[in-house]
Amino acid sequence: MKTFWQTLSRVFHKYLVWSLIGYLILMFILDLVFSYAGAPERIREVSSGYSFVILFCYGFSRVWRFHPAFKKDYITLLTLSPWNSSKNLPRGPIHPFWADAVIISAFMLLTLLFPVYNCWILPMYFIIGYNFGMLISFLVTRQMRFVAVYILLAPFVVYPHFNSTIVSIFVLLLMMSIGLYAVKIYLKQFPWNTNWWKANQLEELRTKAIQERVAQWPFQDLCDRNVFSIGYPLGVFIAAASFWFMHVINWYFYKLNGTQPEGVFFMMISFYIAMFRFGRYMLKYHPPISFFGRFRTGRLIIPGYDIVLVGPIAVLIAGIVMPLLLKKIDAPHHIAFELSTSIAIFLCLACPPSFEKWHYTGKHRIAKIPIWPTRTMRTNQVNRVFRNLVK
Amino acid sequence: MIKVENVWHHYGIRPILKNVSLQVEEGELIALMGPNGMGKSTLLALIGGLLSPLKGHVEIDSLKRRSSIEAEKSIRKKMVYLPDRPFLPPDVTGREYALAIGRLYDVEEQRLMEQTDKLLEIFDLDKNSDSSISSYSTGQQKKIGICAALATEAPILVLDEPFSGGLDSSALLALSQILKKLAERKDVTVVMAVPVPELVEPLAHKIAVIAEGKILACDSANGLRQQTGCSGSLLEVLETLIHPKSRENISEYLKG
Repeated sequence: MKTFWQTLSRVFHKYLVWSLIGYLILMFILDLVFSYAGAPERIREVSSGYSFVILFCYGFSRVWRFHPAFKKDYITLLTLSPWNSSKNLPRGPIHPFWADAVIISAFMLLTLLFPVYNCWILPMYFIIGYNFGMLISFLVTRQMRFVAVYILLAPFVVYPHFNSTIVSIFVLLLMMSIGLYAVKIYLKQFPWNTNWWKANQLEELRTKAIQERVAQWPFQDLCDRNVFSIGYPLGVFIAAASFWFMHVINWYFYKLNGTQPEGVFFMMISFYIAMFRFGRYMLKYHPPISFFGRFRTGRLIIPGYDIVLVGPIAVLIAGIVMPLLLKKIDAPHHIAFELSTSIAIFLCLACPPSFEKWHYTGKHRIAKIPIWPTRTMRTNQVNRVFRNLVK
Repeated sequence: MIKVENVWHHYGIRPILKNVSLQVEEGELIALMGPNGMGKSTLLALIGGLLSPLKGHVEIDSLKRRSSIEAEKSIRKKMVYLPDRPFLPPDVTGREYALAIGRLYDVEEQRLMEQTDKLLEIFDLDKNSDSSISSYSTGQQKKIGICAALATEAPILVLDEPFSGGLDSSALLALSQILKKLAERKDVTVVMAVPVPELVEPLAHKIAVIAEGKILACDSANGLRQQTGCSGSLLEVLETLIHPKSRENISEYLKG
């Protein structure tokens, strides 16, 4: 019996207890309010929403709390101990087990007090949260093939059946099974290849100095460091995934409301994408000569610098001009807007020059744009002041 | 080796550097001198990689700046550029700042800490090293910038006016002695802009004189004397080079 409670308390985090207490108090108050207002059935909507959120968070926390990828001290513990993938994880399993079933069942019983719509589909929200946690863990541990599988599969939760709970649950369970299989495979590859995983203290300190904005202009801009750049394969993948998601969302709205999102919505996305590319490439990297200086000196085009404008212009053409032209020739909605927006995303990510090439070889001048150090640094400073006061 | 070849640079329509060429051999210490606003800082920023020339190019150890990612990365590993006024994060302590800059250049951690401690002591910052930079005076801010640049132990130092900006006499002495030692070691190349001739003469292997966007001369102090036929102080040599008529003008002015 003692082991039962111990195991249960391991997965039953204090936040879950607080959210359940919050749930009960809120529902009790709302029940009174809605009864007083003469709309007692409204409690069902709120209770459903709140239950879904609790179970989603619980599912997510099951991965977040038990997966070693998210805890630095856990990684150290596993690295220094004789643990290997054939042994159980010391802080508990990542996969769901009987304690989860007990908690979900207990919660479903609790909803008898404040009923929800379709009580029996509540576990589905646990699985959604769990799968979301798994997706994040794949990203952290750089298991990109499983990220791709998850992104590919996720829309099938609603597409193309729209309203079949059985199919949704089947897809979610399939994703969960793939996730658990993935964990089994990549636990064998421990320790994984992530930045903080390699215990390269110097690299970590370097990055920290830049991340916390201690090292700034010009040292940060002129030292040799890794500059994140997206290559063609990843650009193609992100654009294809965006197309897939946009298509499903578009389709879902159509099924729900009988109308598709306005084309201008997609064009706005392309506009913001172009602005993002423009800002990322030009905010810190200014032209060697001012705008008016170009006219005065007759150097209207500076090829080494102006190449940076090709990306945003291409995005605007693909995302705004192209759909308007396609609409004129009565192209289908998904070709006109979804495809053109995906092409715009691809161009934003992969149109040359890459950000790394621009950073190192662009004919620009690196501007002094001071950024306030991060909160960590300020907190350290406050701590120091307090320590000095205490001394 | 640093090689500046036929470099042109404009600010708006004003040409600030006109077809400038300069060569700095490995282990040399070169001081750029000349009137204000004549392109010393611009030339240093071009060498340092902050600016890109409109025409011409800069080579570091036979690698052309901004020609390829690999070449640029290789250059950046061995060169540190300290502008006149670098951005100093106000909430960070001097020690944290110097260590952070040193880490960018992959200095071994233990050595970095020791060197930083020594530099902070040399520049009389040891008592303030754990206070935030916002509490530093102008001179102390200048000092911490210099400490950070020296802590990198980069083999090529590009320093814009390291002696100006409110440095006290002990810091001036300390910096000139450090630079002198580096010049003697012959494994560190230094290019710096210095407005005060007295500080330059005992340090620099060569002095490059810039005026009107052009390099008027680049030689040792004695070489410049021979070139100008002026045997006086370096200040007089510079005046002869930059403003050949200034002595006559002053005499005429004093005559009334």
